Amino acid sequence: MRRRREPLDHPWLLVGILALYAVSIPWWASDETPALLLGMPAWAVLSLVATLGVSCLTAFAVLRLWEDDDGGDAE
Amino acid sequence: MSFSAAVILGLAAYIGVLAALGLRARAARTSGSLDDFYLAGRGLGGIVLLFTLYATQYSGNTLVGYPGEAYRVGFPWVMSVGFMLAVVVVYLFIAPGLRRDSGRHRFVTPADWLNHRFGDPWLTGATNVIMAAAIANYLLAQLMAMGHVVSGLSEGAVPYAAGVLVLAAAILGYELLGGLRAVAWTDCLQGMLLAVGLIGLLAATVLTGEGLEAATRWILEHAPEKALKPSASVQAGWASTVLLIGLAGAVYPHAIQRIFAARSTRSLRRALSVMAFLPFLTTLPVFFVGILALPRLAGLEGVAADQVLPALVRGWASESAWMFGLAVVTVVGVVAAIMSTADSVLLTLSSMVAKDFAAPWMRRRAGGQVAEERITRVGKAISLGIMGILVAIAVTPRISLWGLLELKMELLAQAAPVFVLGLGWRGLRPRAALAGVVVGTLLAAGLTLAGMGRIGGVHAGLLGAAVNAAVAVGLSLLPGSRQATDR
Repeated sequence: MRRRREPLDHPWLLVGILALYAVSIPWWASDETPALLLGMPAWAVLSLVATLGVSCLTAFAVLRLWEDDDGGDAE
Repeated sequence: MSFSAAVILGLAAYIGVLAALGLRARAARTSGSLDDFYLAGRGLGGIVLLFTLYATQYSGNTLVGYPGEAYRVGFPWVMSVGFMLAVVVVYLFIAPGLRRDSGRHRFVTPADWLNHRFGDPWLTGATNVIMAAAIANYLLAQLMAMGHVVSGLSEGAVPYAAGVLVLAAAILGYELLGGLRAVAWTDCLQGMLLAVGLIGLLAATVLTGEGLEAATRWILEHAPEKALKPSASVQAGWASTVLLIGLAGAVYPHAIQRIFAARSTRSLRRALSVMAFLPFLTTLPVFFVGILALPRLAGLEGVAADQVLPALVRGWASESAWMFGLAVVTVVGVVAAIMSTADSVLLTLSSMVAKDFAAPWMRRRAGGQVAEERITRVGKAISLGIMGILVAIAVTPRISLWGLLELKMELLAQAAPVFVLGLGWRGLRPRAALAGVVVGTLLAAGLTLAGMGRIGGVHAGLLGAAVNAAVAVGLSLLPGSRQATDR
């Protein structure tokens, strides 16, 4: 029987998640006094957007890249 | 009615509902087996599973420690939103394998999977001891958080020790009655209270403050380092914390047991897909609370910053009648969050000690099989003993809650390579994994005890886990190791 596919079988997934996490860390921001965006320093807002990207990619992988095992798993 | 009296009444009503759920769970049990008591008969469906994962993952550390940390650190604490998410990311890679194997082999504790995968009692024992020590520390942190919250909010009317004792007794009560079924059902109530409390917390913070932009401008003027781009070492610490929490949080034994207890893989997948977004509904509001408190409660430093949340709530209670009610609900929600983590940890710790340590000894003594009902009864006695010891320790808090959390993570991270590599790579050899665990634990503990908890921003636990994994992989690739295992 074919083994069900899992997120572990998709190496690009880990690369994508690590890349988004890397963007969420504001190494790219300026050292100057930050501009404000939505009442917060802009770098903090952009960090949150990257983190939201990780959430979306993770949810996609859980729902689409993890196939149910057939062994007695009926809901 | 005074705020302290209203809080005590609210908590009494909440504990009454918990007791009723415990009794209902006891009536729902189908046997005295380990499966039924520790895994709710492997019947946790989607919604209950989601709430129990949620209420278990978000704890006193999140609700009491994190606002204090946002207050101390400022905007760089926005990184905390990615912390809990990292746990779900690591689940992506280990939960499918654990779920698949547990469906076939009926695991009860993480040690069952270790035995199945490696068949090496030394590796199972060492990993289990590390996990048990780490979550015992975690349970201690929850007990301390309960005492801090209750004494802080009643302005000392309920002493810290009394808060710890009463709430610990309540947890023991419903847990001994209904096992994981009671814990999961009470988690649903606690998860809802947590959500309501969070919404109230954020609403009250926004409504009573001057707004986020005003707070940011105040921070830029009075404490600019808390709004500027974090330094390189803070950024390294940020990445290190994400990795550390992701690795360590994913191998919490109580989280692994929920993977075993899910009714179906589909239920588990649905619950995890929602979990991926919950940091934005939990950690993010808590971060805002800490930031908005900066202009309002200037001057709290060190351990005192853990009192940010209690201080804010006391302030709201004196503003208007509806704010008074909201403050009471928030307090009960915070206590619920702490208790929901503590009960899960206690139950899992009890299962590990009873099934993995006591049961083999009982079998040796009896010279054969021992009834599961008997092991379950011993597990309940072990729960009592563990709680008694930790409550006794909890009455002398010396360090901030965040510090306590980190100590736990350093240890737990050393168990992560065994699970992550063991599930992802068939070439991992048991004795190589054991050598990695020993070396990683000695390194992480040695650095931490020597006062070098972080090197260049990177946690000692993460360094230990990296060396741990390198040793495990390196030794597994040696031809001699492979031949020895093959024989």
